[in-house]
Amino acid sequence: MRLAVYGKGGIGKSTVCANLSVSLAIGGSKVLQIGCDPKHDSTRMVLRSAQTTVLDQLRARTGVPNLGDMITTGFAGVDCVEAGGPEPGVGCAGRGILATFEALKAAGLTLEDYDVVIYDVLGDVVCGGFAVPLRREHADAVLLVTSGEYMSIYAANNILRGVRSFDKDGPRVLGIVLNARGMEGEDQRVERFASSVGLPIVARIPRSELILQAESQGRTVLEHAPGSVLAETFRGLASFLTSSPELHLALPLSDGELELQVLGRSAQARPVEKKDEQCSQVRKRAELPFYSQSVNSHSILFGCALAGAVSATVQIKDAMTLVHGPRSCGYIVGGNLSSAGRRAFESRGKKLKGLLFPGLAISDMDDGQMVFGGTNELEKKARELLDGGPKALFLLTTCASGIIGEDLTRMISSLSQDHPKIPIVPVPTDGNITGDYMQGIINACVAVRDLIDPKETAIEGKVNIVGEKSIASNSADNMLTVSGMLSRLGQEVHCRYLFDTDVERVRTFKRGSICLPAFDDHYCWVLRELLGNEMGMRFLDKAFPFGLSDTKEWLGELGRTLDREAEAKELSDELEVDYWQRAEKLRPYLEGRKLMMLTLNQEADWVVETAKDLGMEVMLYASMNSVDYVRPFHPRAELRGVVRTFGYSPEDREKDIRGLAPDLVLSTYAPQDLPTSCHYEVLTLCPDVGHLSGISKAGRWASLMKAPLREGWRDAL
Amino acid sequence: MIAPDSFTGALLAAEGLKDGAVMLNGPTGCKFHHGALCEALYPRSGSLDPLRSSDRFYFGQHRVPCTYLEDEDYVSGTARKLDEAIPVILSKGHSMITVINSPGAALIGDDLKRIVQRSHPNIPVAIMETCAFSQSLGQGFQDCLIEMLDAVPLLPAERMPTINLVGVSIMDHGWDGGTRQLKRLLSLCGIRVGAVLSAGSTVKELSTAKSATLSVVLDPEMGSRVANHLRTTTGAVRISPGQPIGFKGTSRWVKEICDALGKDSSPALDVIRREEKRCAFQLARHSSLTGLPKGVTFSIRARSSIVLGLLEFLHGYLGMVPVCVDCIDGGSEEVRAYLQRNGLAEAVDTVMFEQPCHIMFGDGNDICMSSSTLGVPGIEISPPYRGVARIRDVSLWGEEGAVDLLDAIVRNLGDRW
Ligand code: SF4
Repeated sequence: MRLAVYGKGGIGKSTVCANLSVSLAIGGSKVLQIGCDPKHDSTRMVLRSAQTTVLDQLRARTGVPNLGDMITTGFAGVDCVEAGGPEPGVGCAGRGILATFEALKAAGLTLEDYDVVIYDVLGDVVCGGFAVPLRREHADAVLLVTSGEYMSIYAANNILRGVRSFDKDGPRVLGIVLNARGMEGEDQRVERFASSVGLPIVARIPRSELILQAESQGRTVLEHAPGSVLAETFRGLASFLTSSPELHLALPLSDGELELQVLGRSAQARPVEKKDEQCSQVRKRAELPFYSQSVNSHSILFGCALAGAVSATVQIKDAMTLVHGPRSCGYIVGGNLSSAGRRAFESRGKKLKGLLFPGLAISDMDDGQMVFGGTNELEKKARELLDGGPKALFLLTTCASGIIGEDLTRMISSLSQDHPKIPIVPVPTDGNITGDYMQGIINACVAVRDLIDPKETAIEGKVNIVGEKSIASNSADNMLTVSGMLSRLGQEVHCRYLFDTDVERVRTFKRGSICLPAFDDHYCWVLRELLGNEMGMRFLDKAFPFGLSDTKEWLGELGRTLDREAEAKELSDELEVDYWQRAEKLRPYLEGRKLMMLTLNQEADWVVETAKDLGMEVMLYASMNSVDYVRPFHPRAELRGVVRTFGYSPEDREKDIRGLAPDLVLSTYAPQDLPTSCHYEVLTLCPDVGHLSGISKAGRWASLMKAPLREGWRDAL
Repeated sequence: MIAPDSFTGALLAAEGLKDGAVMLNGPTGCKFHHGALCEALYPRSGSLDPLRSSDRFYFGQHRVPCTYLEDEDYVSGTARKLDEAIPVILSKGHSMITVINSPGAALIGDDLKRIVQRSHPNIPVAIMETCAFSQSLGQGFQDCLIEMLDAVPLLPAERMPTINLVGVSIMDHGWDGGTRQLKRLLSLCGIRVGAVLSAGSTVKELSTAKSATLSVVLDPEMGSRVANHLRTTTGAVRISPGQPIGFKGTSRWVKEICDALGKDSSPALDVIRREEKRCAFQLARHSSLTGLPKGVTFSIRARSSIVLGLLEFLHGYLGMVPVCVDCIDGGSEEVRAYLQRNGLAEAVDTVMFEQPCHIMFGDGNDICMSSSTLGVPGIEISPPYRGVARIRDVSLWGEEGAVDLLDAIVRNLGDRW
């Protein structure tokens, strides 16, 4: 038999387990008792002393301990294992139980070698770790230990809930052991509970001095007073267990029923359930000052806040980013960055060391740290990095360190004392617990704001750029275009928040006379709030422009704001001439051609404008968003009637291509297996900034018109 | 670049199956990178059209569907999402599913086996409740592969006895073409490869792997425990002839396998020798003009077993000189011994990209860096790669791998010398 004995902490289940184990062993059974209470005193009475726990052994060494180290044989030949737990308030006790079972399995424990295996499990905590013994491969029977106290019965009922969620396929509960506290009406109360949940009371252990006497000598009652009535009670329980007893279904009561039937009072009077300190310290999506759209709308989270935050903090080139978590998280976020770096290098020859080999380190949390907490190792790593003299250190947390509730405050204050000149900035991420990729970027921007010196003042001729997308491969080229236009207006870029910058530029952020938002999106809106409304920075209304008319408007607004209208007008005219010269060259190939556009959550007015200027006809402009639509879509007036925004399916796409017969389909991804009646071209997600956004792409559209509709190689597919 | 760990290893093992699928019980944050990585290393779809992967749990990618865990799930458990996701994945017609917990999900302690059984799967299901935290890529890869082997039924032995190639992953450079070449060489000697564990094999081949007579471990870090597991459970003999890199390395590899099976290796060795002679002739002409490639300095970053194979080829065979050697898995005794023996021990202490050299062997990031910081050309020998697609399935293995390497070295050095 494999028996899981559950009960509220301190209710005496270890006493029951130890005496039961010894009774069974004396009766001739080969018994293994596994203590699964972080208090780790389950086996003390069998062994007469405290046992080194499995978690202590895991903590002390690198490899898996062998069975001989984990199992100690006690009185009457009972084999004992004590799981142990982390220090209260750190690490994850539930994870400790999981780690113990993994270690026993890895060391080759064979449960079949025992007649009886008894798991002594804390019942107030019902997270997955503490439920491991309930799994079918571990326990085939469950025994509840309770007194007549309300919280004890409440815990027993909770355990039944846990058992029920495991046991869709059969009964597994043996019954209840009443371990009396000597309260008035105690028996009746437990009896009411037992009959309400349809379980027998299989033993009644009276409150007895004998137990205290035995325990004070580190013994079980069976060893201390074998002839006592109490010893006989435990022997009775043991023989009940070995008599193939009936198993019962778990039929827990609702909270209301429990109040009414067991206590005889209404549910409102229920005592406040004490929140368990040791278990899940998972925070709800944090109470943050600024939310991403997904977090705000409680929709599916895309990516994790850690990755987003790292993508922002590594942009501060002379700082280091240290992630507290398993190496996989560092690999994943580093992989995202480096793929952007390689793309930029390949397509534009840009050297982006910051993306290929960013200033990023990981604390490499291992299995031990998941149980015991890993702030010591994190601190060691942080000190190594600080010795390298970064200009700032950002500390970020992952899902794992968030779930086990790692608290970095003490460590940060100690590091700051030793390195007073280096700002140490925590960025709340907890992997994806605080939110999605965008939330991470926002959290990083909020945290980095603390580095800005509020006493700095604006300097004429300097502007800041905010809200660029760090993983877009054309960000560097776009910057060249923008700074080229700015220099014609006598301006230079001071700080890019947060892109390819350094701590000093962030510190002196307020030297920029105005902030130019890169996009008209939620991120830039958040930055307006964060740096504009809260820090008093001026913002240009218009975001970076795409296409000719947008560029002219942007230059006009910038000229007015900076009092450089004449220069802006002159540049605007030059760009317009350039645009039309290029357009005229392309028009003969594209005039009268029919265009269909399939975008993914994006506005592409810059394409529509170019198409119109080249004499093309836009037949359809559809958004293929399959998930959450990011921002409202405002089609140009001339497009009304040909716009589809929601629920555009692959079937719609095929039907429209056949029905509308376009010459060219622009799509975020060039689809396969579609009618070969037209050309297909990829529509970039991040267009180039400036008056040539569309024209620079139209050169390729013109080339496509000269190519065969279907390439020969497709026949081989 | 932070190296991948056991979590990625497990995902790669399961995604290496031709007709298997991974169900990631975790957030999208863990999914996207791995989904893209697996599709890049082992493409299964001709199109990246997100409308074709718009099913819930797929998020526009063909690979690594996930339960998109969020804050509530860490509190309430993941069963509800798994109950909904498993039937969707089962409906896709895969022959096997491997459910893998993300690092966060592994902390919750949900009983995945019990939850999965509720969907009554009619195909094998392997379960990885934890991939261990921050352990080596090889550990996760092998742990998962062992779970997968245990999950599939044992198929009766076939008429012709087969061997397994063990410790091959889709992270191996040009694994598809490479394993094709190795199978060709072995078939010349009458040896059939039953399964490649785990890159490109089917679930059926995974089952027949359990009746193979021999496990050939290419990379001990990725395969020795799997081979031991097969030895214990099926009695398959294990040999570790190293990586079949270069003409000598490939010949030795083939010969060791043939010797273990009592087969005649000469048909394959003749093919290798012929190719070697042809290359030697070309090399002699090149060398008589330039003295190359002897004395050319190189830096290398790769897993130990690859580094060892390449050191023997580049240094021992071509006379090139390593100035910086970085084993991303921490290095092996064999690599250290090779360098020590040849007076090259200082190469492991050198900082990558600081020491000038003539050519770099590494992944796409290394090549971009060496090219931009040192102006040094490079040859990609592992992922991640530059660019989005590679047309030629170049591998390091076999005599063709040796030719491709030589070609790349000579062309890269060409004008710059
Ligand atoms: S922080 Fe969480 S979601 Fe992000 S990579 Fe790590 S485990 Fe995955």
